Amino acid sequence: MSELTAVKNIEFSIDKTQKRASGMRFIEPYILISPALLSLFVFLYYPFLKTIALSLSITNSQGVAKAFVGFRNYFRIFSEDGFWETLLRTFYFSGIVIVLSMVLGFLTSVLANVKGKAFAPFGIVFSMPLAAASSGVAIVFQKMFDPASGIINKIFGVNCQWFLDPGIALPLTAVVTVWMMSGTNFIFMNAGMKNIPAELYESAEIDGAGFFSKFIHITLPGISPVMFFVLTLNVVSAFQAFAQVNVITQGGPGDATKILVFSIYRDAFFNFRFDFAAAQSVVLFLIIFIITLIQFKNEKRMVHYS
Amino acid sequence: MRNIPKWQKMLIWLFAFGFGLIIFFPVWYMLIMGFASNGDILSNNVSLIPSKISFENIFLVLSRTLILRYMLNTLFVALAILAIQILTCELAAYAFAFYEFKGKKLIFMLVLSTLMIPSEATIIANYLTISSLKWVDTYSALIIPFSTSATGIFLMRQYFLTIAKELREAAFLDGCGNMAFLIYVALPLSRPIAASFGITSFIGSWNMYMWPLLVTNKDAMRMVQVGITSLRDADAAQTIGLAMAGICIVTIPSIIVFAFGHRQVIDGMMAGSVKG
Repeated sequence: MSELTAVKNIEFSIDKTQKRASGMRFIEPYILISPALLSLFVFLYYPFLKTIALSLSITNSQGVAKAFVGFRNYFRIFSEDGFWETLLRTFYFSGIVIVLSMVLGFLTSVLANVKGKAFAPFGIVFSMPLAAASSGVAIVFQKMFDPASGIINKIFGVNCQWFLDPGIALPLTAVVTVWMMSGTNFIFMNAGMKNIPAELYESAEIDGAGFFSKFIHITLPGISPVMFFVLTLNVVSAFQAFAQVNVITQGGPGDATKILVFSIYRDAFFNFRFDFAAAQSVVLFLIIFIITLIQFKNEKRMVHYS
Repeated sequence: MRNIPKWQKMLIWLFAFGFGLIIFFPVWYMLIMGFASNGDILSNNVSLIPSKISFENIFLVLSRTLILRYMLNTLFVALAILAIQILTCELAAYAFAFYEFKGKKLIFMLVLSTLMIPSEATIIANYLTISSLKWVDTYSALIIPFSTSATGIFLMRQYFLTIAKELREAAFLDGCGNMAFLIYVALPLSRPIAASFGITSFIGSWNMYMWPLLVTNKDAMRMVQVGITSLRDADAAQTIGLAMAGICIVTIPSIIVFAFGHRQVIDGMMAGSVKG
């Protein structure tokens, strides 16, 4: 008798907790995601929409929108000759960065994947720029290429102006950017190569395939998904380059290294033209968005998923 | 690639060594200049393979500049961002992994879509928000805007999805509720992925540049990467040693963290790259 009531009591209490739980359970997930969502709304969605709104308005020097002007800011920036040059320069810069980054990342990961103990340390050296890349290291590059006291002119016995030469400054800044991104690129491509099953190579060797035929038929298709991912990453980072430009050249000499993000920074925080800066930010967003879209449209042609 | 003759392998090794030298060179240059004496720097006498190490500039930069303050600021900001991000990401990831609720798919897509927005497209409006809150030169300005991470939410959700459903059901039979399961089972289990994400987040904060440049003006509020550029006077050769010593001091910790957490960083990056 007492046992029965005990069981009943237990059943009753389970019933009660389950009911309470299911009542709570309805709002629980919303409570759990609310801190993250609140942060995303305040510091991502809202500012993104506000940037678009600012780009369609005239702003005062405090960045307050004073009047809606439609696309006039866009017409203005595109009719200034400086802006087209900035855009072209940005594409030129990004082109160098993307091509060199992909080549370097690929080469370093091939080299680090050669079998043998003597090749093991290269993995650490090739990935190290990931940790060192910063505005601090940008200063190191600036000092290395200093025309008067820099080590590069000393080693090669030349008298080049490097970052002070309008023709060299932009490609050289691109090379610095490639160095900064090389650790990340190496890590991804290296992992991609390690993931190719060794049996594929072995069976190809049995069939008498040589180095290059293995390379073209196994290695390239095998790492194409990772290559695609790295390419997307490089496109985005190349168009967003800023710290190295601001630290090393400040957009100079003249406007030689004034690329898009630096131009946005200048317009907003030195000229206090928040409206022009916002319009350029939207242009930057569209460029990255469209390139990423094109890449994903062509993903099937470029990538072999096994 | 096993059947390569030995002499060819030697050539490939030399080639790789050359690449390694070029990639390592800037870091090496930073080290030899940072640990060179001012006499050697001024007489342009710094050898690529130094015979002696001088701590002259290391002491100078530590005693004469605010570099320690920059580092403490950055350490505090990076740890605060890390703690808040892990908290918000774990909670959200737990909800996305274990609950069924209205709008789940849509909200999750909304979270992931933020990865498409480059920070430059929000930085102006964020700066205006921060300055209208009078947060310029405060730690809040450096921390609060980074209080969550879409990548972190995604990573941890993927991780939670690998926790067997049976484990959760068994825990529930033992009378464990959702919250108890989160606190006593899911959070401890997610430590490895939190560590991977944490190291990446920490290196990211340590190297942060554009945002701190905008929202701090006082020297005492600077974070390292911005502060370090103020050590350098572009024209004066005398300041090279000082700046290089400063860069050594701020870069070496991040290289050490990377060296120790190498595996975790790579795991975190790879997990983040898998689309699901």
